[in-house]
Amino acid sequence: MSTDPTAEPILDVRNLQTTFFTEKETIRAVDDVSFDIRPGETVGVVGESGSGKSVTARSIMGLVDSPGRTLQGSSVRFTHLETVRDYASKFPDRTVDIDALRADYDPVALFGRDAIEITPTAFGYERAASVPLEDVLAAGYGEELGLVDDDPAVLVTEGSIDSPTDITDGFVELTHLGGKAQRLMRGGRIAMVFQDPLTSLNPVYTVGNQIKEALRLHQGLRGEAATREAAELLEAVGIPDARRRVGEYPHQFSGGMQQRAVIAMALACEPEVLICDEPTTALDVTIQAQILDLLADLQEERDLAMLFITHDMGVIAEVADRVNVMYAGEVVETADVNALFADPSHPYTRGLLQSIPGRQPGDRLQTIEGNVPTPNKPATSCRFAPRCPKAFDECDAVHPVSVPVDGDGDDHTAACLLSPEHLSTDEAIARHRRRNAKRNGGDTE
Amino acid sequence: MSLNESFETDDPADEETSLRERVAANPRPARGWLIGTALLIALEFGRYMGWVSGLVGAVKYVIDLVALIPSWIGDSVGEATVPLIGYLATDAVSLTILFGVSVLLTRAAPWTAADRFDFGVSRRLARFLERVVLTVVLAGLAALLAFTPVGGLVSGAIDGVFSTLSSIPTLTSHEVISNQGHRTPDGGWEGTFLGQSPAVSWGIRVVFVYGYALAVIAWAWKGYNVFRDHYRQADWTPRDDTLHRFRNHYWGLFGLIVVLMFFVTALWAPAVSPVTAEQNIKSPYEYELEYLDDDGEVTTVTPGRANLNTKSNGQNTVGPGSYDDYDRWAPLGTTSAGQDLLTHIAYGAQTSLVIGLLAIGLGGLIAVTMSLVTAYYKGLVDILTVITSDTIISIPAFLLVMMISVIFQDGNHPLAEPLNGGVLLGLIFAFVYWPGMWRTIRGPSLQVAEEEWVDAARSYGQTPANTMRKHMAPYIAGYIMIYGSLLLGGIIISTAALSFLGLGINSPTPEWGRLVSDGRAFVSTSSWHVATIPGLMIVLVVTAFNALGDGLRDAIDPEADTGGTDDTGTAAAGGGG
Repeated sequence: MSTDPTAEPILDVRNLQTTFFTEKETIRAVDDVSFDIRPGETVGVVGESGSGKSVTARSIMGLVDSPGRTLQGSSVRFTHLETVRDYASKFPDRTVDIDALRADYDPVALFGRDAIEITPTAFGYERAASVPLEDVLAAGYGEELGLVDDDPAVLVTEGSIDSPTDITDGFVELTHLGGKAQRLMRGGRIAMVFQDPLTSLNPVYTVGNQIKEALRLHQGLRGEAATREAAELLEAVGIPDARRRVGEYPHQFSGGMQQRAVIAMALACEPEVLICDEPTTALDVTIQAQILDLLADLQEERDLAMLFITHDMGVIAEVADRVNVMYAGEVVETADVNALFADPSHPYTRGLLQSIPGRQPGDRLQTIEGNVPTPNKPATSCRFAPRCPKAFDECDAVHPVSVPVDGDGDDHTAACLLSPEHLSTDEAIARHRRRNAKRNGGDTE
Repeated sequence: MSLNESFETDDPADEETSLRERVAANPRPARGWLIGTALLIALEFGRYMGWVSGLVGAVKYVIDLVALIPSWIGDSVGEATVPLIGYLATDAVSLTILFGVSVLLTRAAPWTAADRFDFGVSRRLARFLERVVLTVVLAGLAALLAFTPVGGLVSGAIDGVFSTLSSIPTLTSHEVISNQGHRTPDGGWEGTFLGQSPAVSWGIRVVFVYGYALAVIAWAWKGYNVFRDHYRQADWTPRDDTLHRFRNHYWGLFGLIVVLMFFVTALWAPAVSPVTAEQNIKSPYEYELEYLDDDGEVTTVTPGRANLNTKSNGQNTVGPGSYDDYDRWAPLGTTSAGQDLLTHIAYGAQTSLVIGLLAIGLGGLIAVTMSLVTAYYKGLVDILTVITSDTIISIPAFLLVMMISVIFQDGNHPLAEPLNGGVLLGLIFAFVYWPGMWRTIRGPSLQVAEEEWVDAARSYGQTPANTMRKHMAPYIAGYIMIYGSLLLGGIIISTAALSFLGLGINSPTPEWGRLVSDGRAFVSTSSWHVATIPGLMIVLVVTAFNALGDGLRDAIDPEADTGGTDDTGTAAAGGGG
């Protein structure tokens, strides 16, 4: 599971915000989450129940139901080149050529006249002049600013949209997809494995039937050819006697085999990215190990990029290359898996690691007291502070932003007022304050 | 059996070929069953053709109604402005309707010209042009049918073919086993089946009708067993348990038997009645019958005149199981108008069935569609549907039915014509009762929409319509079946109640409620049967529909305790819903 860290990410999530507007309150289930996944890499997302892991996955798939919505400013980019070319030729109406629009674009003027309620810092840039046009368009501000008529789904940065096969760079913006473009993406490019295999298979259809449904949608296979392909898929995920099993109903499968069947279904259309939402939670430990091995093998075979969601630190240690720790809708710590386990920085991560049975001294299992709060207000303080063993006064006043834990490297970041660790606490707090102030507009030092 | 299988195949094209292959691999059992089926159909071929011609008539009626829309709108516009604009409006509406038809046709067609040939334009434009061309062709056809004699010829030819086919004598037709004849002076019978008395002839025919229906049902059941034993790939499906549970549900079985008899009575109404409604009720002065009069002479009289002397009105009674003065056999006696009561009951069953099925079919369709759409999309569409249904429910149902019915009847709307208001009543019931049905299945729909397999279907790119149809609809089908069968009983009662009040079905279409209304003055006299028998029929049929609904509910719900506890484990895993 070694990947080239310099490779271009295939999936790039930036400032993802998904909010549920219920009658009672506004719940920021995912609040400004950013991470990326490279081909062949597994990125883990870990956290307690209610920390927004599943909503993150669903936002990427576009499966967030009303009253939930992915907010403007969020951007989920799918940079797979072949897909970009394919989409550019299939949906020319929704494709824009960044070069062609660049003439009309003057970032300094745009941000200067406050046409939008967002600062360059939110895009990750210090100065307005350096905010690239594609970021503004991808975040969904293009229409408001009069740059385009309709939020574009395909953005071509290098190459011409007139000859889609010659495009050399660009991305598909997943948050702007809808209708057919979205359906082609789901399953065909990005597939998802759900938590409970028993309920993610429809009990009234045979397993083969459901795999064939996916095959038919994306590869146009029918009849005998589809049945053969379905059997091959079942074989590929390690189900013996696949030819007979194709015609059986989900209840005739054991739990582990059901999850294998679900994985076969997800892989039916050869996706580039596989999102696993707690795929082993409903299984017992031996089956869990088998499923993890299977996923690792499949990843190697197909060079899959994987987003792996779980609350089990043990599973994360086994599968992930990099880990995002989520808490109350925010990513509180990001690190390489080894760095995270060896040297956790955020108190929440430490708490999670300590609560793995067998890793702590003493007889009693250490736990993090309390529950994950519902993130129903904009974050003005550290959301973990009420449960944090290291909390101090400023934790209730300053919202920590993600900063490198040591020095400058972006490899290991944490959103805690105690980071960066090499600075004194006061200096660190000052840095967090500054970053917050810039982000919310107003003073630029 | 179609209900049993309709949800088993998710993809008709896919499954059919493989079923065909399976049959080809082992044709013996299927061949035996198909030969039997052909034989059964041949016995009653003429009657089936009669049903088909009835359906063709209904389709024609719908087309005629749709064809009225353009000129209706055009005339209104023309009156408000100038006639020229009216004509233009007529044409525009016609073309819009035809374009809609062509969109439906191109969608249903397996291939399109846009795919096959490259016109050098974008695919969407090509498809649009294709539809425009089809619209023009359709408009030409419509003009040809409407403004030239061709239309009349085609219509006449269709009618001719079906009337010839449906006049083929069948096992249970009056021509084969006749119960209409007259006594001879020497004490025998003439004109009846083998010279038997009309009562015996009629009895034989009725036995044949129910015997034949029983054979058809048994044969269909056998067909299902043949399919299950020889051709079904799975050796067990959740439906097996459902059937097993229903077979042990005696109250439900009672309901099923009575409901089936009700259906058979309605479908074979002409064969079950001693005389057809056409001859006895609708145009009694256009037929003639012979009887042996008091002087020992064989005399001819029209049924209309005869009916005047056979009234059951308290002073004069032709009771159940007797002959009237004109040698006519009246198994259930006569009505207060002197017509045959069984004819009224049998054709009345037909009326109730048409109204009930129309209301439940249309209302259920609206309810299922709305429940799926609202459960899938939630949000605004959900709120709008809630408001609409609440508005309809807030008006007392019976009052609303009466109001709409009176408006259409008094306005002599073309919808009020067929079945003397029967079709109109069915439509009104559909409109009034769909919110109730929608509410009943709303819960289960919302529940199934949250199931992970619905998300899974979306996550591999299934279209919303197919997700709803394949992954959600099967789970509410059980609920709508149960509620539909319960509501059908309610609709039969409501129809009877409206007719009792004189607002529902008008004469001459036979209807049970009107019989009760007509005969209620004579309940305490010797003519008690006129109101009592239809009343009892209503009670029996409505009870049976409720019993059937109960049985279905217990059969479909795997957790229902009906004794078969041995299979609840597997059923719970597979049943869902």
